Amino acid sequence: METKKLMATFAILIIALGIAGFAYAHWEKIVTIDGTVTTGTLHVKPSFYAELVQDKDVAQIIYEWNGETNTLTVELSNVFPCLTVKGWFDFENDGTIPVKLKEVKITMPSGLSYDYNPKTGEFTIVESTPIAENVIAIGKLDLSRWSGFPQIDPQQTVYVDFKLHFEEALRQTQEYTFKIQLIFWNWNEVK
Amino acid sequence: MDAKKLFATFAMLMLALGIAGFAYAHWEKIITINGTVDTGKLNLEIIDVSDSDDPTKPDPGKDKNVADTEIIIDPQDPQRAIVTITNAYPSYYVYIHVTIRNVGSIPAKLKEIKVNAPECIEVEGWDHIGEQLEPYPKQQYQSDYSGYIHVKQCAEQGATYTFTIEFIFWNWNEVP
Repeated sequence: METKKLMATFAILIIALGIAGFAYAHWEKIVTIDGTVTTGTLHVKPSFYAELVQDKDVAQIIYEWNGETNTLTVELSNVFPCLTVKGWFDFENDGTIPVKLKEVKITMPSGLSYDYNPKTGEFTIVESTPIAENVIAIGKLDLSRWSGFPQIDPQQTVYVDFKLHFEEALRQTQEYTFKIQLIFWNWNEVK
Repeated sequence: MDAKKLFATFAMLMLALGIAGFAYAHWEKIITINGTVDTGKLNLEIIDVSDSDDPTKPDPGKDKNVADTEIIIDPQDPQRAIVTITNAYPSYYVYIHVTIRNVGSIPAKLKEIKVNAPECIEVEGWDHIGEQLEPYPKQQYQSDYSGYIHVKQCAEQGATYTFTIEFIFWNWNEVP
């Protein structure tokens, strides 16, 4: 009887150790690296100023900035030959990531084309008619106040001064609609 | 007389046998084995961390210092490192390193590295799968493990992403 009890106790002990041994076989310790990545923001806020050089209040200029569509609308009306428009665009990087001007897309109205010399900043606008090609405006972009062109660092504001002069070949009662898109990317993605 | 002697002898014999029998009935020898099993401890701690983005220099592989990476050992839990990357942008990447020491009493072996990260953040962890770390200070042995974090093009602006890298150690004898 005593022998049976002893054997039973031994058997239970072996089983218990077996169970314990199985559990211990999976001793585990996990070293963890928890990370958080917060991305920055890319945003460029433009503004615009222009004035008309004229000795009479004939031509008009209206401009409006729409922050939602990121669009600047400029309307010149009652324009006449020899009118000069001068002013500047400024671009403030109010994001947290440096930006670089990747591309400028210009959509001209039908019949109009432009030529731009990046070295001098001078440009001409030419209107093609069945008779001839007429230069209707000349101008110049001055990037001397854009430090680090074509890049803008966060909190940096750069300026593009411009001057536009309408030539004698400008036709009466015409409406010209154009669109200029400046495309900025995070600086490191622009070669 | 002979009968009396015989009777007395028999009585004494019986008495002697009785005494002897009684004494034998209490003979005893106990052999005892007392056992104690103290189990060891599997324990590891991070003792050092670093990253490849020097806050005084341009971001890794870039020409500007824009994003920042900070990695610390959790002051509440030395088995956890905390990485914080701020102002990140597409294509920003950084390497992180942790030095792990076996502070238990059982050799440990790196069984597996598990990574959990969102789609737009590429995270890798590597080095030394199957490597054995002997207990410290029996052997002053420790090892460096690394991670790589890369912000992909699909990352959104002004967003927060989280990731986890787990270095899973088992007692050495259970890892092939």
